[in-house]
This record gives sequence, structure tokens and C-alpha cells, in this order.
Amino acid sequence: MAKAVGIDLGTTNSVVAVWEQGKVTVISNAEGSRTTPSVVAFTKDGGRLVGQIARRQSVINPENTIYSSKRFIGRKYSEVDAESKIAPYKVVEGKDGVVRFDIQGKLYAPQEISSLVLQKLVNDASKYLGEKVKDVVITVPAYFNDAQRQATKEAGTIAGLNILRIINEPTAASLAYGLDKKGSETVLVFDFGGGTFDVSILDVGEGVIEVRSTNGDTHLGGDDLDNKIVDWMATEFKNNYGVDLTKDKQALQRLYEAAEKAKCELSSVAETSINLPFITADAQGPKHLDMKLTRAKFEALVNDLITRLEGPFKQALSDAKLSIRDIDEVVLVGGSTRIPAVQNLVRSLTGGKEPNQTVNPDEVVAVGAAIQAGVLAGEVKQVVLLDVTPLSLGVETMGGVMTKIIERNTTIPARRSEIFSTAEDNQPAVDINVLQGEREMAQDNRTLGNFKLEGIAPAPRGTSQIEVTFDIDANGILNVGAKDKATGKEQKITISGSTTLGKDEIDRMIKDADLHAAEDRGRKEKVEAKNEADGLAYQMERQLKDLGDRVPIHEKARGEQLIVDIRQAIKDDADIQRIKSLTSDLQQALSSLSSATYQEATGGPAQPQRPRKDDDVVDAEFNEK
Amino acid sequence: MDHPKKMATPDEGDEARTSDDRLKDLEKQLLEKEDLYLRTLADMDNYRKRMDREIKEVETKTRKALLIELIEVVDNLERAIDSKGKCAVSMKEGIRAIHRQVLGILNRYGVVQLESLGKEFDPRYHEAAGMIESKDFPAGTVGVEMRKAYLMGEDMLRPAHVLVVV
Repeated sequence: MAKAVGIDLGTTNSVVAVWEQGKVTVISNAEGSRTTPSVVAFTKDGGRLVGQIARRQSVINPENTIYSSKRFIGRKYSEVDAESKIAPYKVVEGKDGVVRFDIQGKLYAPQEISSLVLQKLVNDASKYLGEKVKDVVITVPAYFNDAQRQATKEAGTIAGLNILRIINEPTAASLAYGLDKKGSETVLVFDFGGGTFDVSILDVGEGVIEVRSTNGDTHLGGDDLDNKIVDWMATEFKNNYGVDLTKDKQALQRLYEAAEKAKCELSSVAETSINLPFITADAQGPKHLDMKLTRAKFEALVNDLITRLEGPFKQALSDAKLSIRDIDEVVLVGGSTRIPAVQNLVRSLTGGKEPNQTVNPDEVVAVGAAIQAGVLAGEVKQVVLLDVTPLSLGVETMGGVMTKIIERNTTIPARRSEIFSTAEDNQPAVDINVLQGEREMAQDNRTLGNFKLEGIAPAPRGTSQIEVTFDIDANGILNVGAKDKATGKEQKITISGSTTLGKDEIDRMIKDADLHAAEDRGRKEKVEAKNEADGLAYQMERQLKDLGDRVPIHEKARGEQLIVDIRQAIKDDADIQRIKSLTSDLQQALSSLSSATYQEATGGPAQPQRPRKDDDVVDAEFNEK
Repeated sequence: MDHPKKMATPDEGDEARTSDDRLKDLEKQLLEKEDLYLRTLADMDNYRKRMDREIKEVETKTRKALLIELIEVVDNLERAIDSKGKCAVSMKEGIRAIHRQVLGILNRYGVVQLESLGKEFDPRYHEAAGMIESKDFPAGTVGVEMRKAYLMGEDMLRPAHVLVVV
């Protein structure tokens, strides 16, 4: 089925995302960037440029480079006087008072410009997905009127697209957080982007989202914050060195870049240094700009801009006839909401409410649009909701260790097998203790059930192959089987309800595992050291027996002594250091035995001996919990 | 009244039709499931392929980000070399040597500088920061190269910042 995409057609930047495999992916454009500037340029030789490449030449081709066409779409010429005045390109009145752009004598409608942006986004998405994309959901600001929505739809049609739906940007943001599924709520969406600020209040519930009120400032954004930093740097520099950097295009460009970088850094650190060597020169020689900007200083610099966010917020609230207490959820949209001062303002304005901000604020609108596109194209319904195992599942192995077979959060149905072996010569049976949990030691986890596989063919320790299979079906029913590969003997149990633990219990078990992680690791390490020591002692014993008289008497005595020592240490539960040092002695002794000339081919290397010893088997009865 | 024969005939017919319908229904269901299964497998396969591609892309992206920061150091070394002012000749020589060293590192990663001065302005490689008058270069070409463009293989690592001749 053809995939449908969601498009955030922004004033400055646009983003496209797709719903697939049960999740949303934001699609990178051909240049490798996740956002595409909403800029279209017409070159002198009649070419058209869209996106980043169009923006790069805007300075030298301002009258033929259209940016912010969204500010004009679906509007009458008489309504856009203020916008026309600041645009470097020619905005003229077309037939019936509509807005047109005059590009080298040819008139273009704003929707034609937007259609070129849409086309690029969809082409890049098609390339990424490997299939032609036609169906789209496009977002518009909540305050867009019918004419503006209609014109946006036309832009899509001109681009050859099938518009599944036009949805509001704040609605999309709410969808991205799944707020539509949470029952009746009042959601405040705070959208502070690169060039515009919007605040919307929505009624969300029963799959219906309604805009109650919206307000904002169409000319307030992150770029204004950058300008404040640039002004500050230039002023400081002038005071110190008497040179006005704003007069020098090269220096100014560097200031803008440094300002944006500093702003972004200050969202995660409290202080950043701005270092621009050789920024200028005078008769005395080169001058360097080296300044520190603290978050506090930055906040002071932009304070008047941040304060301007309050008015529209309060207006939206009063238009919705609501008080702060009525707001259930707050959603942050737009890159500028990463700024701690902005977040703090939102918190204080909403009475301390913690805003939703886990989805990238630059992409959250496109993400919501993609979800809507998925729903409309039937993708979302078609997706079978796959469950996961909330906790790891495994078996108890030698020394009481929990060996995980299916890791926690594995999507089910799932099937995993692992080969284990015996811990004793001629061990006739193994006990399979099925465990659930995150702790390292078997005893700290939940036992789901256990059984015994009997009739294992007699074999030296570590050579039998016992295949243990965990198979958990889509309903969470777990089948555990054990099979002796030599005899084909098999035993299994079925455990239902391995995924039906309460959320609290799961959380507690995971938290417990975190809490005891260090101590558990220590215990497991010790068991592993003991197992290794035990395995080596066994190997040594066999070597000595196999080689018989060919081993010089002193080496034999040394080997035997080491076996005794190590077994004693294991029995006494000696500390890990002692066990490890004995193990290394034994290893040395073994390797010198192996390298000596009297060595002949003997049995292969020992296999991992994980299932616990048969003499530990006490509880063989079926025990389902 | 008992009319077993009469009663039985339509019953049998119904039964036959029902089981026939059921069979058709099951056949249809089976085909649908088969289709869904194949689609899921195909989706998985495509997803895996795309993920392989994406992992490579992430790797390249991470590398590029680091190289771009390193290039900023090269910019500053070049500014130092070009700067006029009192400075021992041997010091400048030293800075030149460091500059060559860093360019050598970049070269090993396939990163090359792109000369823009005097070339026709091309937004694929150049970002215009403004216009300038020039006697040396014709209109529409790069009159001042404020920072150099870098390519990594075929990929644009970062465009040049230029002033274009009026």
C-alpha cells in the first residue's frame, strides 16, 4: 500500500514524517537535513531552487527569492500591507484583490510557491521510502481561516498530491503525544519557533480535538534572540577595542553563527565561551574576540522578548474563558522552547505544570501529522498491536545464576533457544527452573514453574547438549522445552500469564534490579569464578588420569594438590581473590601439561556447564505461579 | 407431523451451502492472512535494509559533524597565517606547518578544500553573505571568499561563505 506522509509546512522551515512499522520516522531531505527551509528562488537563467540551496543565494537575489510565502497564502492584498512592506520581493495585487508575487514580470500565487516546497518534501520522501508518495496530511496554524486553508489545499493539488486532510498545528502536536486517547482534557500548546509564536488552547476528547482559542505574535522567534546576543557581543567588543564589528560583513557573519551556537549550548550548560580569533585587525595588529556568556546573562539579554510571550498566553486563556487550573496538559513546540527560561516561563504561567517535551519540538507537528496520515490511510488500524515481555525470562544455571533467554522488552511472539550442558559426569537429569525478573541470581527472581528432564545419555560433564527453548506466543503464553540432543528425549511445560503482571509489580521488580545491580553483579562474578575454578579442576583431573604415567611425578603431585586446594576453596566459599589466584595457578599447570611433549590428543575443551548440578534438584514438582 | 424426507432435503442443501460458504470464507481468510504475512515479511526486509543504510548514514553524519568542527580550527589557522602584524617569521612558519598537518588529517578522511575565488557563484557550493564591487573579477563571480567550501567525497561538507561581485 502507498504510504501517506505528514507535512509541517512552516513559515521558515518544513518537516516531513511518515508512519510505518508502528512508529513515526522523520525523513531527511536529499541534502541530509531533517528540516527544509520553506524558500523558493528563481534564478536569472530561469531555474528554480527550493530549500537550503535557495536560501544560500537569497542575499544576492532577494527580489527573486520567496521566503515566508505562508504569511501570504490565501489572503487578500489589502490584508497583507505590513508583510508586503518588509518583504524584499515584490508583492502585488492580482485579479479580485488576491496576493501575487511579481518575479521578473511573471505573477506567482503564494500557493504556487508553497506547492514547490511541498513537491520537494514529497520527492525526497519518495526517494527515502522507495515508493511514490501521493497522499499527505498538511498542517496549518489554528488561526488560519477558510481561505487560507483552501489555498494550502490548492498548493497540495498543484504539487500533484492527494490531500487527505488539513489539520491544525497544535492538534498535530497533541496527536504526537497521544493526548487524544487520554479522555476529555484541556491542552495548551505553546509554539515558539524560529520566526513566529503561537499559543493555542484545545479541547481534546473522544478522538475529537477542537480549538478553543488561539493567540500569538507573528513576528517573534528564535532569530530575535540571536540578534540580542550579536548586539551584545558587538557592543562589548566596541567598548573594549573601539572597533564596530557590525560594519564588517565577514565579522558580522561570524557573530551570527557564534550567537546561534551559544544560544543552543546555553540550553544544556550554564556557561559557554565564544571564541572568534582574528575577528578583525587594526594598526596594532589582529584582534580576537574571546567572551564568556552565562545563562543568567543570556536570560537578561532576552528578557524583554521572553516577557512578550506572556500577553498572548493570557489572552488565549481569557478568550477560552478558562483559568490556569483548567489546563490539564501543556505541549511545547518549536526549537525555542528548548531554552530553559522559556520553559520556566511556561511552568510559572501554567501554575507549575510539567510540559510534554519528549518529542523533538522542531518535529512534533510533522510527527502528529504523520500519525493522522497513518490513521487516514488505514496504516494505523492495520498495525497489529504487538505486546512485549515486561520482564526477562530465563533459567537457573550452575551456582544459582539466572541466565536470561528472552530479554525484557522483546516483542512477542518470540522464540529463543540456547544449548546447555551437564555439570557432572554421567548426570542423568537436569532441573529446569523457569524464572522471570531482572536480578542476576535465581533466588531473587520469580519462579514461573519448573520441570526435570530425565534420561540424559551418560556422558562426561560438559559434553551433553541440552537445548532449552523458550517460546512465547502472541497471547503471552510461554512454552518452555528441554531436549537432550543425544537421545531426543524431551520435556516441556506451558505457563500462562507470564505477561499479566500489574504495572506496579513490574516497576518494582525493575527498580529492585537497579537498586541491587552492584551487589548482584558481585555475587554473580563470584559464582562464575567458582564455576570456572570447578571446571578447571575437573579438566586437570581428567588430564592427569588420561596421561597416567607419562606425567612426571612432581607435576602430578602439584596438579593433584591444586585440585584439592581449589575444591576446598569452593567448599569453604573462600573470597573471590583466593579463588581467582588458585584458578590462575591451575591454568598455568594445565597449559604446561598440554604443551609438554608427552601430551597426546585427549578430549576436546570443556563446554560451558551452566545447568545446575543434579544433586541440587530438590523440587521437581510442577510449580506454576 | 413428521415428514423426515421432506424436511431433510432442504436441510441437507442448507448444510451443503453453509459448508461451501464456510470453505470459501476460510479460503478467503487464508489468502488474506497469507498476503498479510508476506507483506509483513517484505516490510521487515525493507526495514532492515533501510536500517542498514541508516546506520551507515548516522556514522557518516557523526564523522562529518566532528570534521566540520575541525575545519573551523583550519579557518582560524588560515586567519592567523593571513593576519598582518608583528610576528616572528619562524612563528608564522610554525603555524603554516600546523595548518598543513591538519589539512593532512582532513585529507585522510577524504576531505578537500574547494577554491571559490573568481568562480561563478553557485548556490550548491556557495552561500552568499553579500555583494561587493570588484575590478579583478566579473559580475556574478565570487569576489571575496570569507570561508572556504569543503567536500567529503561527493558530499558537501559545508558551503563557502562568499561575497558576490555586483
